[in-house]
Amino acid sequence: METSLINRVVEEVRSLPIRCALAAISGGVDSTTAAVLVRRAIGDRLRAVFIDTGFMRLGEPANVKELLSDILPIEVINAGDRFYREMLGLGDAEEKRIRFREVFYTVLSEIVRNYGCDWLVQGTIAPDWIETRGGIKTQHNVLEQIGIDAASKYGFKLLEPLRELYKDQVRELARQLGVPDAIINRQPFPGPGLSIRAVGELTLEKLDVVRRATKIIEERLEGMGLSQWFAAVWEYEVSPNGDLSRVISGLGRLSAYLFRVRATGVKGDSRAYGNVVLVSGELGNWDSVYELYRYLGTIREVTHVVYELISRGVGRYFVSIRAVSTEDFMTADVARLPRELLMDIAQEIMNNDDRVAAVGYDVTPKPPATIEYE
Amino acid sequence: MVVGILDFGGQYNHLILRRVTELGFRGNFLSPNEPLDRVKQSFDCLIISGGPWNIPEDLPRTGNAINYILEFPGPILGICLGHQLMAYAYGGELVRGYPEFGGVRVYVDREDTILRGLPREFMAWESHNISVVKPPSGFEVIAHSDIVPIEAMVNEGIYRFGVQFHPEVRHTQYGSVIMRNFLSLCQRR
Repeated sequence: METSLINRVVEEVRSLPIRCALAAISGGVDSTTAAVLVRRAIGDRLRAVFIDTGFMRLGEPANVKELLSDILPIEVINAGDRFYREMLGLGDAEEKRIRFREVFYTVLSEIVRNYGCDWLVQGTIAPDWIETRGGIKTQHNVLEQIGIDAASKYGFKLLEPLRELYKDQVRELARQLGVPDAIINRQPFPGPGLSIRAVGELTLEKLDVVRRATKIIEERLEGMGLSQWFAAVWEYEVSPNGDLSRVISGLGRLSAYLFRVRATGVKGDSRAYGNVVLVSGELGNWDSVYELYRYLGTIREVTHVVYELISRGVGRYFVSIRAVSTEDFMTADVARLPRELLMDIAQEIMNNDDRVAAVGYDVTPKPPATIEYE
Repeated sequence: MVVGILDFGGQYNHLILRRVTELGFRGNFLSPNEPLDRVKQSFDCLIISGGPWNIPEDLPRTGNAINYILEFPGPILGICLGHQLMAYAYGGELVRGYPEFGGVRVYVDREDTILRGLPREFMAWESHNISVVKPPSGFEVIAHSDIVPIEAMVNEGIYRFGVQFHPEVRHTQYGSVIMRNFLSLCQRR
């Protein structure tokens, strides 16, 4: 199926009147595969850029350039200041995502004009437009599917050769195309990057905390066969909730709290933007941590359930460890990790950053949560 | 043989098409506003899938779906919202309650038709706020969970099958067995 798909796309692209196509590359498997595929059809009339949004992980722009050096020459465009100017201070999840999309395409349309290009290649895949069109969350790389006319608004036409595929199918295709394993197996990283993992009000300090915690978690959980593993950060501001505590009283000596922050979920095919529950205390046995969502995730406003691993009296932020397994990213299960490993990682995060007051493990599958928080 | 997949804008509709294709069958999306006659001509069986609507409040948004369920001559599989619509169409009872999200343990009461070849219990993935609590007359309950009494129901005589969970998602164990069971029932008819 992949070879015929490759041939079909190459022929289709060759039949289009393309002067020059710009590919926006994140270094992930989707955007890279889309660009490599189009490059097969039009060669050097494909120009690839990496936009540094300022929401990248430590060392990411240089890493991506290095990873791609053999298959796709890319130019790194630094747009961090612009994204910061437009986005710092925003607090609502969708507001952040929509503003990100606008700045992203404005920057791209300027580059397209400078290069004299007339098409944009992007790695939009099926879950991107399904979730955006379904109103679950706005993915930054979806325009036409929600009625935004790219040509009149941004001055380019869109090439989305992967739009009907899921991540596992893209990976298969990438193998056929000879994309390096390091890219094929790279865990997904959202377009808006750390801006949506610094949950709630976006500040430079919160971005710094999440960037440091991300590095630790990515290193410690690497090579364990997980699909996605990362950190999210928000203020450690909670209020106790007696009703929720009672619901889980059968699982141990536990207390439930609600964070002030809100996070995104998907319930009954609709968007949910609601409470994050913090559970702390002693579990009867560790495995029942993976049962908590059954009791709490069905409550109307709850989208994420996080079990507190460790806390101390000082610090402003809460770090949530997220680790899931999934093939197509439409549903996801929580990774069953041993308590000792999680405690160890939590301790390292605390030791590394005195702004962190507590660390927990997110134990919510998708649904009712989404993999990300915003 | 062509399988019509009713598109209510649910999160997993596109995955249903993927599964149908992977299992070697031909599938096409179908808008709920298509006239019944056209649907009868174009398709051999139907899958009525999930979506963000609540039954019965949002019935007007489901187009001709109820008519398809009652009058389409071929086999129909209702998934999630489709299962609820099927129960409603034939006079079953729905309540807003017993929500389930993520992994749910499902117990098989009769290992037959769409559940043929399944063990007595399996983990299924779900996402619903509304539940079917009483089957329509003529329907047999063939699976339940700890909190929802009807996870799967069938009326073999009229080739109608409903599941509250999502057999099309990867995390549902034996999901592709269930899809294949339904598709081979389509084929046989």
